[in-house]
Amino acid sequence: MNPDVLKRVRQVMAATFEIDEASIPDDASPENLERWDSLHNMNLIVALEQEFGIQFSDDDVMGALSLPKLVSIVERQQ
Amino acid sequence: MPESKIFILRNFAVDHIKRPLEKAGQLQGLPVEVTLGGYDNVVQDMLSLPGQPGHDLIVCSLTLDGLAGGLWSPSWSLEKAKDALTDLYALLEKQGRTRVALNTFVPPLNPWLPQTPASSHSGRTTAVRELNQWIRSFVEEKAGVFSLIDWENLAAGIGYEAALDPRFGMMMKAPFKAAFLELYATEIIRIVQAVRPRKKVLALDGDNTLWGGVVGELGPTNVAIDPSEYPGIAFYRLQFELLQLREQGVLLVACSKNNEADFWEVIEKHPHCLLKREHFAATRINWTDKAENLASMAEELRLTLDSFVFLDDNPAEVDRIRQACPDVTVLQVPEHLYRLPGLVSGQRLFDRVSLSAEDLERARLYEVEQQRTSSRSSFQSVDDFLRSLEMRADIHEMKAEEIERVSQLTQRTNQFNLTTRRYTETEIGAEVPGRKIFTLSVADRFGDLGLVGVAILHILDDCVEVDSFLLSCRVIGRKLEHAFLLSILQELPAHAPSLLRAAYRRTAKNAQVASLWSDFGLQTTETEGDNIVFTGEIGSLTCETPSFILLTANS
Repeated sequence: MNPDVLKRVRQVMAATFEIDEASIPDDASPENLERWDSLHNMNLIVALEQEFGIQFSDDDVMGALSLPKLVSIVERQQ
Repeated sequence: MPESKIFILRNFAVDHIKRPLEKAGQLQGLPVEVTLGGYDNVVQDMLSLPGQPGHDLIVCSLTLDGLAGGLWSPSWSLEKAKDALTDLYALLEKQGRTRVALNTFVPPLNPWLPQTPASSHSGRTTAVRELNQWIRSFVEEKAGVFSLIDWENLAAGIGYEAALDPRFGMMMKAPFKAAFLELYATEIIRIVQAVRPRKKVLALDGDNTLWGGVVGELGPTNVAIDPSEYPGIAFYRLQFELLQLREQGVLLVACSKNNEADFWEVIEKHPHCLLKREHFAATRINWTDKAENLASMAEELRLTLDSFVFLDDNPAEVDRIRQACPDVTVLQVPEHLYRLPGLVSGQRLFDRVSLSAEDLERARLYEVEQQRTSSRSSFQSVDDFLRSLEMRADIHEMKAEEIERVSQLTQRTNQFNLTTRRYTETEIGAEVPGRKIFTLSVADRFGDLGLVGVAILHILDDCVEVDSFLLSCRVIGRKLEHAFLLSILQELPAHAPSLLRAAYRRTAKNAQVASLWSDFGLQTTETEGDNIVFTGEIGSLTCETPSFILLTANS
C-alpha cells in the first residue's frame, strides 16, 4: 500500500466527514465510523475523484465501503 | 433572530440540501433549522405535520421517479401524474397554516423516441413540460398557500450537465449535483424571507446609476440610456427592471447629488428615458448628505430605514451609507455595466409571497403624495394651491404621549430649524420652570400628516425667548409657520413679557430660514459668529394666520 495515497485518502475522508484524521481507524468502514452514511459516502467518492483525478467504476462506487478498498481503488487507477 | 424552521417532505435522497440551506440562510442573515421527512414517506409525514411544532415553511420535494408508478413505467401518464399530485396538494392545503413550496420537474432531455414529426408531440419530455405548466397554474391560483420553485428553469439556467447526477441518481436515488442543490436552497431561503418581506423602497442615484455619464457635463439628452448603444442599453434595461419592480409594489425614490432641474430634465427630455416623474414616490435631489436624505425620505414615507435598498455608483456614497445607515441594504453599480440589469432583482430583496394589505396601503400612500405634487402644478398661485389642500392645523401644548415624537423631530429636523438644538426624550419630558413646548399637527384633504412642528419657548423676566422653532420637511412651503407662531404666542399667560427674543443659528442645512425672524418683523440685535439674535414686540409682528389654514380646536 502506497503510504502517500493512504495519507491523502485519510485527509480527504477527514475533510468530507468533518472528523479528526486521528479518529479514522486503519480498517475504517461504515460499520465502525458513524459519519460514514450513504450521504457522506457519495460526497467521499466525489471528493476522491477530484483529489486524484480519477473516475470510480460502477462496481467501485457500490463496493468501496472500507478504507483499504478505497486505497486500492485509487492505486489501481493511478 | 430565532431560527426559521424548514420541514422537507421528499420522495428521493435530497439529504445534501441541508448544508447548502444552512449556508444560503447564513448569507441572508437567516439561521435555519432543517428537518428532513422520511425517505418516500411524503403522505405519512404530511398527515403527522399538524401535530408538530410550527414550521416556517414546508418544502414538498418530489421527483417523478416516485410518483404515479414512476416516469419510466409504461403505465405512467400525464393524467395519472396530475391525479397523484392533486391528491398530495390537497393534503398539503388541508394542513392549513404553513406555506408550502412545490417544485416543477426537470423534463428528461432524451425522450427515447426517434426524431420524427409524430414523436415531437408525444413522449415523456413533452408530457413533463405540460405537467410543469399545470403545476405553475395551480400555484398561481393558490398563491395564498403555495409557492413555486421552478426546477425546470433552475436546471435550464445552469445546464443539465451541471445540474443532474445520473450516477448517484440511479445508484442511490440522489439525482442532483451540488450546484443544483445550492440553487434550490437559495430559492427555499428566498421563500422563507418573502413570507416576511422587509424591503420596500429602492433609493436610486442619478448620474451613472439611472443613466450613463454626468448630466451636468453631457447635458440632459446626451447621457447614456439609448438601448441601441452600449452602455446605454445597460441603463435602459435597468430602468425597465425598475418599472417592473414598481409594479410589484416597490417604491422607487431618487437620492441624487445633482441640480434638481438637471435631474428632471433627463427624466422629461431624454427620448429613451423610461422613468417618469410620477414613478418616484419621493425625491431628494440636492447636495445634502445622502444618509440624511434617506432618513428624511424614510420619515416622509413613514417607513423605517431597514426597509430601504440603496443603489449608487460612487464608492464614497456607498461607504457612507454602509457606515451611517447599517440597516439599509447597499448595492453598488458594478464595474461591468452589462451586469447592472438584474443586479437588484437578483438579490431577491423585494420578494413577497403575496400582495398584503400593507402593500396596498403603501401604494395608496404613494398615490396620495403624487396627487399632492401633481395638483401643485395646475394652480395659478401658491396660495391657490395651499387653499386647495384644505389644511387643518391643531396647535397645542405638548401632551405626554407626544414627547417621543417631539424629541425625534428636534433630533432629525435640519432644514426648517431655526436653532437646531437637539433634545433627548428625557430632556423634552423634564419639568422646566417657565418652559413651554408647543406642537403642531396637520391634516389635509389627502390625509393625516401627523405631528410636524415643534416650538419651545422660555418665559423669562424680561422677554419670551424662542429656544426652538422647527417644522418637518414634510410641510415646508405651506406657510404653517405663520399660523404656528401666532397661535402659540396667543397661548402665553397674561403675565408674560411682551418682548420676543429669537435666534437664528446658522448650520450647513438651514439657510432657507435665515430671514424668517426678520420677515416676521423682528430686528437684529446681536450677531455672534453663526448666531444671530432678533428681538421685537409681540404685538407688532408682521405675520398673520393664512386664511387657508383652519385652526382646529385642541383635541
